[in-house]
Amino acid sequence: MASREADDASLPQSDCYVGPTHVYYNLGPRVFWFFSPVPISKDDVERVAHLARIGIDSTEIDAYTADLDRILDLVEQMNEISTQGIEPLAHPQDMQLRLREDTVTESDQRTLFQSIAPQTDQGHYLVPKVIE
Amino acid sequence: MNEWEIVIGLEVHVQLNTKSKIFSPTATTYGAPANTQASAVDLALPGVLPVINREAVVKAICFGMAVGGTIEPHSIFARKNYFYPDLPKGYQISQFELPIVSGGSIRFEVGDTHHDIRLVRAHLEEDAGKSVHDAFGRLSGIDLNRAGTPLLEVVTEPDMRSPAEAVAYLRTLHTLVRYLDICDGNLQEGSFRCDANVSIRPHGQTTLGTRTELKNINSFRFVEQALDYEIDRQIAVVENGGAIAQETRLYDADQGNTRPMRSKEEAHDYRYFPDPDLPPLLIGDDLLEEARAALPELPDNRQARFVSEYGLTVAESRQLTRDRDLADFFESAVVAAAGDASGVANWMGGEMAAALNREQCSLEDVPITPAMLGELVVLINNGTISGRMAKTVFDALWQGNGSAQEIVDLRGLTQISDADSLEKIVQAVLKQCPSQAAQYQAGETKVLGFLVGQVMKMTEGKANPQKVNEIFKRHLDG
Repeated sequence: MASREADDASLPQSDCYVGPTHVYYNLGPRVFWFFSPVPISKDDVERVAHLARIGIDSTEIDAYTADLDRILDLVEQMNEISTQGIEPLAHPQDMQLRLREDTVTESDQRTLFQSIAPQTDQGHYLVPKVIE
Repeated sequence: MNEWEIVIGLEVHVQLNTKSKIFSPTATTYGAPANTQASAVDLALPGVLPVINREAVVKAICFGMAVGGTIEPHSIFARKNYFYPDLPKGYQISQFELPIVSGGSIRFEVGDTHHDIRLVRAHLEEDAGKSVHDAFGRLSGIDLNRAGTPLLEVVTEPDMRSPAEAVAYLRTLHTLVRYLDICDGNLQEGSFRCDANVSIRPHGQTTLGTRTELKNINSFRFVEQALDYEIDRQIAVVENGGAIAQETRLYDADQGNTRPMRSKEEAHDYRYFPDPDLPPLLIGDDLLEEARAALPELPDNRQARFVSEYGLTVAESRQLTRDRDLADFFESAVVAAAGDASGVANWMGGEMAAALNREQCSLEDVPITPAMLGELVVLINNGTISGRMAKTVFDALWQGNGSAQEIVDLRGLTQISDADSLEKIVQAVLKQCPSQAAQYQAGETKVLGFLVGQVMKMTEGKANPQKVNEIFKRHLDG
């Protein structure tokens, strides 16, 4: 715990992002998401479910809240470990982005792709209107 | 009114002019039939993976170098999560922490005042598709041709203090990206799109007021109008004892006002996280070298050089360097004009600028080439044609009727400069108009214009007017 507080104190405020369930810190030069759990509420669960467009039954919210709390407890255990002097990672594999030459190799396959679309018209995919 | 200080920051989406998309080898051509340039990657079909376009990276580096920013040797792509029908993946690949370019600045002048607008960052991201809300009855149509088009989002500090300054910044940035050949700059096609953050505060206050964000602005003129409207609105709210709500507002060009977006549309909690599909982008010496080699002479340097090398005025030089094509045209034409820079500048700033403006077209749309304009200047300078004939020749060049020499030959426009021929004509005119000659000798020298006019009439405008003047004076002053 002590080591985490020491890390916290050295963080500039601007490199902190308050998410729905956590406060995230950037420990650049590489990004590392440093979790600082705040107690999760039923509202948080509903909010996250809405943002992710996941339909959940209202009777199950308490169970999800408890589950997510347990996951965050696990993260909290990891937070106990001092990470000072360890270079943060943005990707679990030690590899770099491969670059592609700027050439067009895709051809038009609209008919094929639209054969699985529920509704199309004049080449457009049709969806329920989002703006009235 | 003057007790309020205006604070403006801008975010510009610069569409990079690559052949293929940022994460898929699909064409980016504008105006193709709906969804004919939307591949499996762009549609987010299962199992696809993004692979980044090297050229988009090089163009972003070029921009960073040109604005004096820091090129991040190690940058990261993140997922920006939100749901909208024209974003098939449910997230936009963007950069959040560690963008490819940080810092740098854009410099320009408004009148005699120098401005230096600091940039926060410039990051790479993919564009979304387009929604069509009014053509399919109770449904919306989705065209994903634009999905995945590379964008460079350029974000400033809140450094601008007036709508005019914001517009000047945009024009400077627009010129720069066209110079760098990283963007076609076409505003109508959405290649250069602007969002503005604006707030007001009492003069002397150092903390920022609550800002609103204006979206949906697609011309320089609208940026100024939208900001003017929004600033007046904010001042009215505050002076009537109200408070500004932090919100996103849409500019309505037809009504000339701004209105808030519905809260549902702006409910953003993007939950950024590093995209597991894309490992870090490492920029090594090879990419830096490639970008440096692609970097042209920048507008500021070129403007200064036009003054020192060609002896142009600052105003002329600014006009000629505001567009890279125009500046290239000028330099080629000067070579063709045997080095007469001021002659070329006069034509480009006069007849040519007027014609381009009149027909609302750009250089690439007109048949006139630097070689043609240069030849025209040479023909004037060596006395083959007069200034007045040159205008006729210019119009013919503009119509695409051939080279300057061809037009001169075809229309028999060669100027009569030969002293013997002119002498005979002048003597004939003096004989016909003895009273005017007497008037001149009595001190009414203005009548010379009439006499020269008679010569021009007899020669169908082909006589060299300077020479004719000289000959008359020799006869009459003597």
